Amino acid sequence: MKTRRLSLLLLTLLLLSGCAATAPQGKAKYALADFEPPGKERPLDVADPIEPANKELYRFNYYFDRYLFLPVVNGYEYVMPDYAEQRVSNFFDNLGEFGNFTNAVLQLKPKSAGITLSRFLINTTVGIGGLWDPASNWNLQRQDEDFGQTLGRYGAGNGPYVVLPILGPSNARDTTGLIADTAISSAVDPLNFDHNEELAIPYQAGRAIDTRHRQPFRYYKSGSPFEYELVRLLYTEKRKLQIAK
Amino acid sequence: MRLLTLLLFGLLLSTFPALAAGDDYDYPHADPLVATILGTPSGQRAPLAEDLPVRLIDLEVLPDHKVPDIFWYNEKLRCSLAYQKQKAPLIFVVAGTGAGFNSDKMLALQSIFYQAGFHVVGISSPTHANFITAASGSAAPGVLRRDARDLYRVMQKVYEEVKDDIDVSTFHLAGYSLGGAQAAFISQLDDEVKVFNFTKVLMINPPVSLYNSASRLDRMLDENVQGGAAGAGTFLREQMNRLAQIYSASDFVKFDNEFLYNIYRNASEPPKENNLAALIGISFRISAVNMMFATDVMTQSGFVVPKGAELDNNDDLDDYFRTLTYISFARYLDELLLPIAQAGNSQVTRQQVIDGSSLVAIEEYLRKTGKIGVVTNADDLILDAAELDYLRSVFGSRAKIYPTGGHCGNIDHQQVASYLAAYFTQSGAEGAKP
Repeated sequence: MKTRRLSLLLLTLLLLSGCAATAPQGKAKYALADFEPPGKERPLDVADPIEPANKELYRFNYYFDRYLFLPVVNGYEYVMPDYAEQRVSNFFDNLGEFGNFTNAVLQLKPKSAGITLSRFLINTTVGIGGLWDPASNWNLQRQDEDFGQTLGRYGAGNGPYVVLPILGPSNARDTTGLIADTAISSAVDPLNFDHNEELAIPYQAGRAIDTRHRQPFRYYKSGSPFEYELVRLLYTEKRKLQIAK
Repeated sequence: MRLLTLLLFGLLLSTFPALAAGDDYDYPHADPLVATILGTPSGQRAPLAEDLPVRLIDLEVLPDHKVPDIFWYNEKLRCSLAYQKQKAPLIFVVAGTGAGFNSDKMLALQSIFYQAGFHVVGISSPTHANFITAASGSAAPGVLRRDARDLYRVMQKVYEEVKDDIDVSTFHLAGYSLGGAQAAFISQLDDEVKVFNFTKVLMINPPVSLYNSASRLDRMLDENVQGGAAGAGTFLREQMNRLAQIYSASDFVKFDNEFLYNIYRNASEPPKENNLAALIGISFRISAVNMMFATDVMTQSGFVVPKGAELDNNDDLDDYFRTLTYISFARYLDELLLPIAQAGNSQVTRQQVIDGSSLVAIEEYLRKTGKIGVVTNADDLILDAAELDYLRSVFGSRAKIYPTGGHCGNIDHQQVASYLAAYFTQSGAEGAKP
């Protein structure tokens, strides 16, 4: 149901964005052909076949942030002391270790899997249910792994660039990964939502607020005309680094 | 007793940090390219103020100003105010080429001045796309006198916006890089118009001639990237691939400044000079591309965007970006800025535009006023030896020149930061003798 609504939204955006172009009058003084041959290699290009729809979603995310998400996050930051915010972040991070562990195993990385398992055991016990992160102080650094990286590890390319509603920059591979990770986490079900359905929504909402709270990125903040293109490149490069690690 | 002496000594040092800074200057990077790129290592950085009260301001600068669809998010000029609760002097800070009010260097300066007890207003560079679209009369930055008028108008509007909420004792002005040169022109304008009556003005790593400095940065790309602008993509690709290799083989988990600094420190051989220069050249070109695109769209010059093309949020801009990467600053001046200047006054010559973008144009004023100081580095990349001597001769004892630091690489170094703060806190400081 959720995915169908999403694809409907995407389709609508695609159709809407198709009719926006305005025909220019005459030519500009300089065109790309004045400087380079048509087939020139573009080593920093990111495949973005649905760019108009992506740009529309990019703008949608800005409005969503501005009128809903950030006011909620700001309210959260206003009420909560920094100290409590840190406990909340640690709590969600600790539950995220299930995903890190599963994906480290899937990528056949015993060291990462070992570190993640130790972190989870230490932080859940000594760190009291994951509210503290003593493991990091004992030189067990968090190993961020997700199914998108797992797919990349086994040779899956980026696929087309996608801007997801609310979640932001992604691509076909990482979106698939996201769905898989969601499936993994609901299969593991560490908080037993199967029997505590009423907790699932506050949990997801809390996680979303915590994630946005920790993400300093703000849409259009750079003021650069090419912010979308830059974010697209940086996202792609960042994922490449994470996969190579 | 000994404790008391030590304490007094410490107090003395913290009151006169400018005096202490000269002899034992311990900025680590002797190579100006490295300094410019890596800045100050975290251990020697002036600590950033935590949780300083900042108000973000969306300013309507030009009433009835129509912004094209593609710049829908740039209708208003974004500025910042870090404010003191009590009465305090206010410093306006102008950003360098292409930088916004919230760039890393601006945040460092904001923190330095706030901690020294000032209200701090941060203003984006007139070369920043947000400024060009929302606050520029001409939308074509580079003529310093005109940029100064635009900035001066913005300062008045910002102050109008915040004056009921803060208590200001006196006004100061600072700017780094291009913002430094603009500060000098603003100061001259203010001496005539007398809105703020600035007490002190500080230029941090300013160019003497914008044209010369920009041409020098242009050459860093042209001469150090194989194939010039055409090879920039390949160059960046290679560098990123190398970094990725090092990163995946390293023990570092986070890919951040600390990681980058660590590779630099542990590298078996120093980084190649021409690669460093290329990186700086490319970064400057990207700033210029942002600026030129905004100027072209706002002025409908038909430079790379055809006249009458009404670009929209969702249009593909890749080719415009790519085309503009081939345009040097000299070409911007000749083919975009000059025609726009001539449209207003057909008598304007190329040489006049170049001269107008230089401190030489207001040399007499700079020599005679006691309120403007300059802080720069002997190895600043945007100055040559003659220009450095020029600053020395014009500003005399009002010039503070550190031996190293490259272009703005030492701005947040503890000793430099102390000097910057002391320049404004000390009445009749050594940097401001008439």
